[in-house]
Amino acid sequence: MSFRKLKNATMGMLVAATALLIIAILVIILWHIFISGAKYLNWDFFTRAPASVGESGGGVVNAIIGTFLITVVAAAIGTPFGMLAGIYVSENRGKRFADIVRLCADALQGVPSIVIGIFGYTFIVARFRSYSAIAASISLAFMFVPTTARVTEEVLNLVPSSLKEAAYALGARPSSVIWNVSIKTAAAGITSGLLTSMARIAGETAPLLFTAFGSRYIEWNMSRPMAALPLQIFIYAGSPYPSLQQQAWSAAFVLVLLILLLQFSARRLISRILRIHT
Amino acid sequence: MNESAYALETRNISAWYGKDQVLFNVSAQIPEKKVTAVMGPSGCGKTTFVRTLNGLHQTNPQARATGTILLHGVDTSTLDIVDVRKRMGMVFQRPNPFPTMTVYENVLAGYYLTGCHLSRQKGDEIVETTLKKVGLWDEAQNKLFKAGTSLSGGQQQRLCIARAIAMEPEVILFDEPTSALDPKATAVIEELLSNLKTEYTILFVTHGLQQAARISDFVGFFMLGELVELGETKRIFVTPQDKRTEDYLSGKYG
Amino acid sequence: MERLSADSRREKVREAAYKTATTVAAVALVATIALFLVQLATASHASWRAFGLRFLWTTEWNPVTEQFGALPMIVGTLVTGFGALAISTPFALGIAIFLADYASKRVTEPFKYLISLLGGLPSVIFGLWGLIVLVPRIGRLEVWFGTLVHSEALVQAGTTGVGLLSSVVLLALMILPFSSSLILESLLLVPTELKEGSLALGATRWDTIQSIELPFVRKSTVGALVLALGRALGETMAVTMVIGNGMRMPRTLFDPANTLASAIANQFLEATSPLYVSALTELALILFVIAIVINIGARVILRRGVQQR
Repeated sequence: MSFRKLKNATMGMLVAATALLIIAILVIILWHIFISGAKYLNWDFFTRAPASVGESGGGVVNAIIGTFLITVVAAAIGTPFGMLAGIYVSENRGKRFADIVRLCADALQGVPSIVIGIFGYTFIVARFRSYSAIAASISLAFMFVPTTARVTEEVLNLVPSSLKEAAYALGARPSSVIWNVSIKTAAAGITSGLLTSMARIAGETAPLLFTAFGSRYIEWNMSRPMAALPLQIFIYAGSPYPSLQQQAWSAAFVLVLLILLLQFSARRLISRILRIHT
Repeated sequence: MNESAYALETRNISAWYGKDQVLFNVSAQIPEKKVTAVMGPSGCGKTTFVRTLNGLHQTNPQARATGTILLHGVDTSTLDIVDVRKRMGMVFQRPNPFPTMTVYENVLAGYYLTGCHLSRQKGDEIVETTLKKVGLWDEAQNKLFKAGTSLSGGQQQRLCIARAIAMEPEVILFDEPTSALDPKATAVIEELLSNLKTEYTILFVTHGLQQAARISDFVGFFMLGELVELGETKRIFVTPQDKRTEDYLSGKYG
Repeated sequence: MERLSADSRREKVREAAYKTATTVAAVALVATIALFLVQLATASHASWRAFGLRFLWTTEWNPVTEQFGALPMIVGTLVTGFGALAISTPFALGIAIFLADYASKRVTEPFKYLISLLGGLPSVIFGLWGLIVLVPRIGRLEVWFGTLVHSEALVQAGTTGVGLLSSVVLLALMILPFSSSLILESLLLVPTELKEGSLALGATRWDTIQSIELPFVRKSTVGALVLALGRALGETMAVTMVIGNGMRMPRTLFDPANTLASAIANQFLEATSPLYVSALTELALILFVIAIVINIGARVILRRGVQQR
């Protein structure tokens, strides 16, 4: 009896200690990013392209623009495919092929990002003999589609069947029920899912290495190489110059802020649907 | 064209969920502009029966039905199911107004969802007359552009009735529409029926004996997937012809 | 009547378009897997022809002589992946149990948020932190330990700090948020009646965890760990930044090495000869197949875990 109580107390303490240790480490990581990142931030950082080699100063505005463009275009390419596939799975629940589609979406979500990068290189860059931002967007779209498909399916499954039945009973056809009832009811949830997926691909580096490639200049043309924040972090982190390492921290800080902003909006939307449904 | 003197007639309807047969050769005649109640213990197939009438069972891939349904003498299998549904309104167990639509839009939902374009004036007109018919105009007049789900439960259910009759159906199917409502809201809906039956043929599923007796002109009694008997309410309640009906009426089944 | 038929024709077209579009998207999603396989296999054709299956078990990776064998990277991938899983699993279980059974809701919510925040951090940021904060510290540890056991090689390794050990530690941290939140989710699904029943019988809290909760979540925990392993095996940027791009077979945990993913990320842009590119692409192919197999396997385990209930 007392052995059991002793064990209970020991294990309880052990569990709590583990949790606290890990949380402490995680807090330290965040602390580094926010402190080191914020320390070196200045106005130039947001407004100027990198200084030429050997000069100090300069910023990463080209990478901010690049990340924005590449992410938005990837989402624009991936959203229709992902949503349509998600609708298919949700509407054909219980059928064998729908299960296979769901399984494939899950499996594709687990494909390492570097594989996506190599695929993008051999599939697009090698074919057109040029690095380009659009190749990066297409590669990222391959990551965006399966996530979007799963989110869409899951959110659509939450739409009460009584609403769909009411629409069918009024004489609506399936496409009308999907669009006017299911999608509209689930709109906040789907948007939230899209934002979360965007947050995810905005931070991806490996798919960009051999597609967008990076650039020192402000670039708006999607058919040319383009800079992106994650790429910039990767390049600067490995550089021997402390000033560039500082820029890596700042770029990391900005990237995290961007991701947090996307996730925060997603959360806000989620809490709004919770309010509607209860 | 099959001959039928009834608004709605079924011949040998059987239905299955997966491998389980839930309806056995149901042949029923539903007279025009009367309230016909469908009663029976829970799980007797009365809801399934109603859902086969407007083909709503087709939205469940597990469900399957055979038999003939005549709507004013016309075999519905020869019609587009969408047109059949437009001619048969339906009201469900729980009020289910569309949460993304206002009260106004909910009344006209049938038109929106089937791609019918109404002029603003025509729309206003339909909303007003329909809401008046269901006795919701006075209460909801000032809430027309608020979410349909902002109304109380009983009001929501009347909104759903309005949504059904806005399409000017011939038949309205009620699937235990008061089971989620309090007695007061139930009474309001029951009163409404006597007005509605002057214009529409009504089929009303209920598990309450008292309710069936109060509201209906005709009543059909279901048990274990069979239609035991169907006839005038007075006759069924006073002199049931089948032993099972008699037992049910005397409270021998739950 | 004529207008009605025009309307219904338009409706039919719309229905057909909707059916076709969703089906095409669904088929395309499944076909993506085949597309990846075909594309990567074609692009690595030259390497296939030159090395055949030998590619999988020879240890020489030499761009100068154009001899390519993937074994060092396969070993590096397995060591880092399983090493990270082994280190992080007890901690993941610890956090999950703490949050599910010990912490109050006031503590749980911010912790969960913190964990999800770290789970969402890009790999490259973990890499940056690893390279600048973690690696020098591990290096100092290696030097200290090396002088303690009089190992010249270890002191040598410690001067950079990059290598398998740093990768394993960093990876362990990276998969922790993922595996712990999955385990936490399944722990929260344990019915309260079961827990209360056990407590009412006089069992201690730990007894309840050990004999009721852990068996209940066993299958889903295994599924979660397999998924975490899949992530660790394919993790690219962070590992690339701290593993040291070693081309030779690592002999100790302190050696610089490469995983399949980091070899590609480190070397692809320098690869000039077609055979080199092709060999790196074949690494990607191997990685792709591993990832698909692991992910499908994990989903099957998870689904069984759910059906069991």
